[in-house]
Amino acid sequence: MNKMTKKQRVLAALNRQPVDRPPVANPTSVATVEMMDLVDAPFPEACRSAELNARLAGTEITEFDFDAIAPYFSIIQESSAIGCEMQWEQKDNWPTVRMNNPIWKNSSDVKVPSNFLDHPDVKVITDSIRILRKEFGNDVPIIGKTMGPWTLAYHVFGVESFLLGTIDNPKETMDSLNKLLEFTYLFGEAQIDAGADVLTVPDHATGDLVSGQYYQKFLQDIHTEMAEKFSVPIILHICGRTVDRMPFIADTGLNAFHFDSKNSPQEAMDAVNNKIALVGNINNPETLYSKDVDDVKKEVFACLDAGVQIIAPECAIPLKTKSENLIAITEGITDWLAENDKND
Amino acid sequence: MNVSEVSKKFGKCLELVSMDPNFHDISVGLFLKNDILTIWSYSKKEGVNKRLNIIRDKMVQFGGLNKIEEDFKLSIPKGSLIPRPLKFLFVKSVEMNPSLKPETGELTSKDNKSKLLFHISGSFENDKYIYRVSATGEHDKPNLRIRAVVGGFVKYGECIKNDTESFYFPDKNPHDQYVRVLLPYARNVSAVENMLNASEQAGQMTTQSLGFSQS
Repeated sequence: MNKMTKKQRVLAALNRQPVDRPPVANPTSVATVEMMDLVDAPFPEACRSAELNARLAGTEITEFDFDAIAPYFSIIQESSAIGCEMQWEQKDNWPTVRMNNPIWKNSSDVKVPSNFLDHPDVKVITDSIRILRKEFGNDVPIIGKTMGPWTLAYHVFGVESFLLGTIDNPKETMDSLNKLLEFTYLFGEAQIDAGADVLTVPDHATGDLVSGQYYQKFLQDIHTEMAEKFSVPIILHICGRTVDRMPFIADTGLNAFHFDSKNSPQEAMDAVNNKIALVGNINNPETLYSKDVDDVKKEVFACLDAGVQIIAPECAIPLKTKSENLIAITEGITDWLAENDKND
Repeated sequence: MNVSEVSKKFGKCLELVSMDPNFHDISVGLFLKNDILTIWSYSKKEGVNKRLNIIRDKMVQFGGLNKIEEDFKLSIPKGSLIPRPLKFLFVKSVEMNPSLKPETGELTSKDNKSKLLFHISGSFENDKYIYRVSATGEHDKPNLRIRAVVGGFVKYGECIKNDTESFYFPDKNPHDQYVRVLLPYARNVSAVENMLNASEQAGQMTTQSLGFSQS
């Protein structure tokens, strides 16, 4: 097969079409403290300045030769713009929303601020995408990110309050999700306009908190609608053990699902039954953070043996991940291709 | 130098400190290749080379490693390549007050769980350099605390337990500097474990750290 550009490779993999080599692309984040130093773009400033954000995001290509750039590192940009109480933290920790102090009580409170897309913490991402598009041209895919309504609901209502509401008043929950969905579309479309080729939608109906039936009841239709409405491929991201909801996710029409190492590559592939591409699932807290290059490669091999279409860490990588373990992901793909007598 | 070049030139990263409190919060790594250690940072801030050499010198002073005439580099005396103590030494060398001088004399440390004072002395016994832990001061069962300290050296020094009151290093040789570095950690394993766990959790994006889990 002829050599593909990074963009051709990623888009083909997302559509479960043949590729010249399996791509490596983290749809969440590969920001690390080492790269922050290399390009002098530390957290939290790199989450709040488009120039710093683009500089840090670009290391995914310039240093690791991955197949895509994902400039939205965290999961809090929209929530900051909405008015949630923020904890911006420091260089070696993730900014978070103080969910124990929620800003809204129910669906009637949900309103999109008139200047939402102009808020600095939203604009930083769209401006960064423009910078990256100009710098890396059209052959490198840019993966934007827009939070799904379930994740936003945790942020604005608080986790406990929102989950209790799903039991007490499911209709109210659906009303809230449908109203919060407007943020997902607004920010997603803005990123597409700015040049994003793909969108990741984290929507944390995690295995730790809700069942697969919950996913089907509250989110499957919403994600099906997203697949129809967005004009670019969508990667859904849900952390944790999710194999019980993968068949429902596979039926949404979304392009890909970014899955956690709590699900084995083979059982995940079996669960989605070739109806959706899979992205993942190198373990973060143990393998990438503290194990060796050979351990990383073993997990890459397991993914490729199972047929996972895009190789990636399971979620945003730990900020203290050593660079050698990120290089090992790409090397692992090369080794696997050599071992399986496939052309690189 | 880019990431691939660093990896080829300096080898495996043994430990990474995410923020150097003594120099602009830069990250600093300890790399190992062919028994040569290199202190390295990707930061290009003015003065970074001087800072890396200061850290290198601290590792020499506090860890008994050998300085070599090349920036950022150290060599390891035979038998001293024991990863866990090296990591503690490195972190301490980055985080310590730069004016701090190494202690000399008897190896002692106050117990932070009792009024005991631990003493550690070493001597060769049948080809092994055995470190014996003793304690002075008030405590109903000092042996329990001594046993805990020995356990701490096994855990953080990769040491081998000789008996309930003594231990030795894997190469069976004396490593007084490592003992001095490790003693503050070895005397309080539970607190150190909490500290290490907290450090590992920082910067991890998981359902727990995001608040999206029950635990």
